[in-house]
Amino acid sequence: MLEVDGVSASYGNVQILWNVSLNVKEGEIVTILGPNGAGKTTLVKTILGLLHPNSGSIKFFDKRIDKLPTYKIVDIGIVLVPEGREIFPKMTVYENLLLGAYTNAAEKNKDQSLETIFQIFPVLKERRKQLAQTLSGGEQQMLAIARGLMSKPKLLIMDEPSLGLAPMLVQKIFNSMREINEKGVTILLVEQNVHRALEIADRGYLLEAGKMVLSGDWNELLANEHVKKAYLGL
Amino acid sequence: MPLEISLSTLVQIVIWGLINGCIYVLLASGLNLIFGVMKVVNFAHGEFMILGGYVSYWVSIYAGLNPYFSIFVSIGVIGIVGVLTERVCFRRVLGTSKLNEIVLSLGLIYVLQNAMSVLWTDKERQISSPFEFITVHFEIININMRLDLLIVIGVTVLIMAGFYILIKRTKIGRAIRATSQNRSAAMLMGINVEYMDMFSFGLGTALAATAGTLLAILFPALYPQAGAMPALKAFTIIVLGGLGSTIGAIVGGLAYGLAESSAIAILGGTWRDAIAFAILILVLVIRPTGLFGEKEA
Amino acid sequence: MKKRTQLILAVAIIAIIAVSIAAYYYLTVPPERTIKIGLVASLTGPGSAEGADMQRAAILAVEEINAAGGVYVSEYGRNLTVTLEIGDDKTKPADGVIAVEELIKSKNVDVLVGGLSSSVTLASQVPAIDNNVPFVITGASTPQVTRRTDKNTSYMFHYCTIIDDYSETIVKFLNHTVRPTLIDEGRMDPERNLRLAMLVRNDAYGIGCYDTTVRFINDLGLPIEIVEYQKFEPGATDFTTQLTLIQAAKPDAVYHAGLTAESSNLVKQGLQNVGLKTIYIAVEVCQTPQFYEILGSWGDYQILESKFGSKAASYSDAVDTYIANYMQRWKDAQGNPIIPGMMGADTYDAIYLICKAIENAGTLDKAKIRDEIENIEMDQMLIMMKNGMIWFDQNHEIDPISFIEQMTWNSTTSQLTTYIVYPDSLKQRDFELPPDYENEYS
Ligand SMILES: Nc1ncnc2c1ncn2[C@@H]1O[C@H](COP(=O)(O)OP(=O)(O)OP(=O)(O)O)[C@@H](O)[C@H]1O
Ligand SMILES: [Mg+2]
Repeated sequence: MLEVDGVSASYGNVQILWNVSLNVKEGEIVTILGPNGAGKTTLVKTILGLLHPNSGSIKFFDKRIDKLPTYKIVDIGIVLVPEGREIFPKMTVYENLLLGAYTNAAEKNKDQSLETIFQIFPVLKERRKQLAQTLSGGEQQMLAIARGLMSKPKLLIMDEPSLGLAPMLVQKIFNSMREINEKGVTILLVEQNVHRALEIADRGYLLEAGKMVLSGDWNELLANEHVKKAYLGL
Repeated sequence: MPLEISLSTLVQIVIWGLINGCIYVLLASGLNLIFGVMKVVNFAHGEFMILGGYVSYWVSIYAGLNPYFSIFVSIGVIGIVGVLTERVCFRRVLGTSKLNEIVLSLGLIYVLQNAMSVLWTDKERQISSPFEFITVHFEIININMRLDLLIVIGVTVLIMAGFYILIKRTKIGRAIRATSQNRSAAMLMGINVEYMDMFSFGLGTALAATAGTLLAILFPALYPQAGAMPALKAFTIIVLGGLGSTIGAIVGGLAYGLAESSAIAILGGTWRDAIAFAILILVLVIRPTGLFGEKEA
Repeated sequence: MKKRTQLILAVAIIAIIAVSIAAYYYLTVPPERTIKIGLVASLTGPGSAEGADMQRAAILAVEEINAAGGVYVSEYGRNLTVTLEIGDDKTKPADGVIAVEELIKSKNVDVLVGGLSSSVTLASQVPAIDNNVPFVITGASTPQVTRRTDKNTSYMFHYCTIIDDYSETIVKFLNHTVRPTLIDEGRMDPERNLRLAMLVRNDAYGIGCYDTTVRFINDLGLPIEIVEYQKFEPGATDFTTQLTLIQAAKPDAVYHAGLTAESSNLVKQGLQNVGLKTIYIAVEVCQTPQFYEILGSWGDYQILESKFGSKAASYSDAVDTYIANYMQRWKDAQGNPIIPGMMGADTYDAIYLICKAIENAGTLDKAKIRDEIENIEMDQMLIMMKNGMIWFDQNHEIDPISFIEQMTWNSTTSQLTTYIVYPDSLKQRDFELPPDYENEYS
C-alpha cells in the first residue's frame, strides 16, 4: 500500500536521506530500525509531507503523495504518532483526543474509538479534563499514542512510541498495536529496541546514515551478522 | 486635581475606562488571535480597524443602515479583506524570516493609510447614531449615560461571547487553538493549517472592524492615521495579558482601559498615550519572555 | 540611388538636431518674473480644516490681485503677476521645516505667508529666519513666533491675534457679561468668584491660553478662579475623562483651547457623553466651517471668541463682500458654497499687505520687502483694528479687535448662526444662558 522509491531528502543544504526505498503491504507490521541520527524521523516526516523529497517518489495505494500537503495525506489515511510528545499543551486531554479524530472519517467513529482508548489507557480517562501540559512525561506519551489511535488510519506510523515509558506499559502498547493490526490497520513502526520491534513485526528495514542498508523478515534480520554485532550486542 | 472625588465621578471614570476597554478588548483579541496562530505581529491591525470603521460609515450613510447593523457588513467586508491579505501577502513571507514579516506588515500600514486618504480624505469623521440624543438616567449613582454607551458595551459582550464560544467550543476553534499551540502536530492531525491562518487573519481583522465601528460611533476617531496608537495599545495589552491567551486579552483590554482613564484622572490627559509605553516597558522588564519567547508562563 | 537615400537621411538628421537645439534655447528662455508668495498651510493632519481655508483665501486674494492687473514693481517698470506656491506642513513640526525649506530652496519664493499651529510654526519658521525670507505668520497664536530670543526674528511678522488677546477678551467677557447674568438669574452668590474650568491642548498654544488667563485674572484683579485645569494631547478624540473631572469641579463656564476638530468634539462630548451642561467658550482658531458642521445643534448657545465672524449677522461691509466672493468662488463637491474661516481671513489680509509692501519697495529684494512690511500703514481690511489701520508694532504684531459670539441653532435651516454679544461697541444681541444650563446651584 505504501511504496517509497529512491527518496532523497534534505534540511536546507544538508542531505539526510540518500536514495531510500521501502514498501509496506496492507495488513503488515513493518519496522524501521537504525541508530540515533540515522534519519528515521526524517523518513517518516517525508512520508507525511512535512518534508518534501528532492527526488524519488512516494505512493500510497498507487497514487503519488509526495507533493501533497500533510493534511491531505492524513485525510487519505496515513497517520503519524510523532516522536517526542507533540501534544497540545494548553488543551485538555479530551480535546487532544478529539483533535486526533479531526478528519471526517475518524470523527464518525469517535465515541467508539474513545471507548477503546480509555480501555487501553484508563489513566487518560481519569485525566480527561486536565490540561495536557499537566500530565507526566509518560502520560503525555500515552496521550500522543492514543490521539493517533483516535484517527482510524489505514496506515499508522509510530515514531519510537516506547520512549520514556515503563516496561509494563510498553508491553501494553505493543499488545494493543497487535490488536489494532488484527482489526486491519497496517503499522509502520520506528524503533531502537530491536528485540521488541522484531518480536511484533513481520518485516524490518535497517537505516544507517540516511541509507537503507538492509531489509528482510524478522528472522532474517535477527540472523544477520551486522545486526547481531551492532544492535543486539551479541 | 481634586483628591476628594465623589462617588458618581469615580463611577463615571470607571465607565469611561470600561468603554474604552471594550474597544481594546475587540482589537487586542483579533491581534492576539493572529499572533497566536501565525506567530506574526500584524502591525497594520489598527489600519484594518479604521478601514472597518469607514466601511460602516459608508454603509450607514449610503445604505441608511443603522450603524449597529452596519457592523455586520463591516465584519464581512473586512473579514474578506483580511483573508485576501493573508492569502496574497502574508502566506508568501510566512516563515521566511521575522524581518520579512515585519517589513510586510509595516508596509501594509502605509498602503492602507494612503488608500484610506484617497477614499475618505484626512478629515476626522464620526458615525452618527440614531440614538445620539437619548440618555438613560441611573438613579442610585445619579448618573446620566448616553444610550450608545450602553449599546457599545452590549455589542462588545455579544461579539466577544460569540468569539469565545467559537474558539472554545467548536471544531474550527479547536483547530485554531491546536495550530497556535503546535503547528506541526496540528498538521499531523489533518488540520489544513494554511486555511487556519487565513481564517484567523480574517476573523482577527473582522474583530478589529467591530472595534473601529464602535469607536467611530463614540468618538470622531475616524481618519486614516487614527489606527496607529490603538494598535500599539492592543499590542501592549496582549503582552500584558499573556500572548495567545484569549481570556488574557479580554482582562488585559479592560484593565488597560481602566488604567488609561485613571491615568488621565490622576496624572492628567497628557498621560493617556504615555501610559501605553510605560506599561509595555514595565511588562517587558518584568516578564521579558513575554514577547517572542515561548509559551510557558 | 543608395547615395541619395543617405543624403536625405543626413539632411533629415541635421534638421532634427537643429530644430531641437533651437527649441531648447527657445523654451529655456527664463520665464517672466512673477511675485512668488509661498503659503505654508496644514493641508493634512489635525489642522487640515484651517489649512484648507487658508489655501482657499490665499488663492482668492491672488486671483483678485492678478485680475486687477497685478502689482506694480518699479524696478521692473511694469506690473508683475503674483503666483502662489503652497507647502503642506502636515500639522507636524518636522514636515513644516521640510515644506518651508522646499518653498525657499526649490520654489524660490520671495515672501512667505501662513503657518497654523504654534508648535509647528515655531519649527517651520526657522528656515525662513535662517535664509532671511520675510514671513507674515497668519495662524500661530503664540507670541513667541516674533518674540523668541534664540533667533533673530526681524523677518518675522505676526498678522494674527495672539494668545494674550484671546484670554484677555474671554476673561473680560466672563467678568463683564457672564458673571452679572448669573447673578441676575440667581445662579450665583454675588460674593463668590466665578468658577472657570480650562481644558486645553497640550502644546504652546493651549498651555499659553492657560498661562495668559491666570495672568489676566491676577493683573486685572477679577473675581474669577480656575477650579479645574485639564489637558489633552494634540489630535485627541476622546475627552470624556477630563470632562468628567471638570464636571466634578462644578464650574460656571469652560474655556477650551483646541483646534477646530478637538474643540467642537469636546463640546459635543461634554454635552452628549458626560452631561456637563455649561457654557463652553472656544477661541477664534475654531472659526471654521467644520466647527459649526461638527457641532450641529450641540452648538446652540455656545460661545466663540473671534475677530472674524463668518456666521455672524452683518457687522462690516468688507467682511460681507469677502464672504460673498469667497462663497461664490468656493463650492464643495455637492456644489454648496463653503463658508470662510478666520485663518483664511488673516491670510487674505496678509497677502494684500505683502503686495502693498512690495509695491512700496519697488523691488523684489527681500530685505527691502521686509523694511516695507515693517513700515506698512494701510486701511484695515477683514480684521478690525483698534485704530482702523494695519500696522506692525515693535514686536511685529498687530492690534486687532476681538469679540465674543454666541451661536444659535436654527432648526428650520439646520444651521448655526452667531451674534456678537461682547464688547458693547459691536454687540448685536444680549448674551443668554443655555436653557438647560447647570452649575453649583442647580
Ligand atoms: N530540522 C532539522 N534541521 C536540520 N537538521 C536536522 C533537522 N532534524 C534532524 N536533523 C538532522 O538529520 C539527521 C537525522 O535526524 P533524524 O531525527 O531523522 O534521526 P533519527 O534516526 O530519527 O534519530 P533518533 O533515533 O535519535 O530519533 C540528524 O543528523 C539530525 O541532526
Ligand atoms: Mg527520531
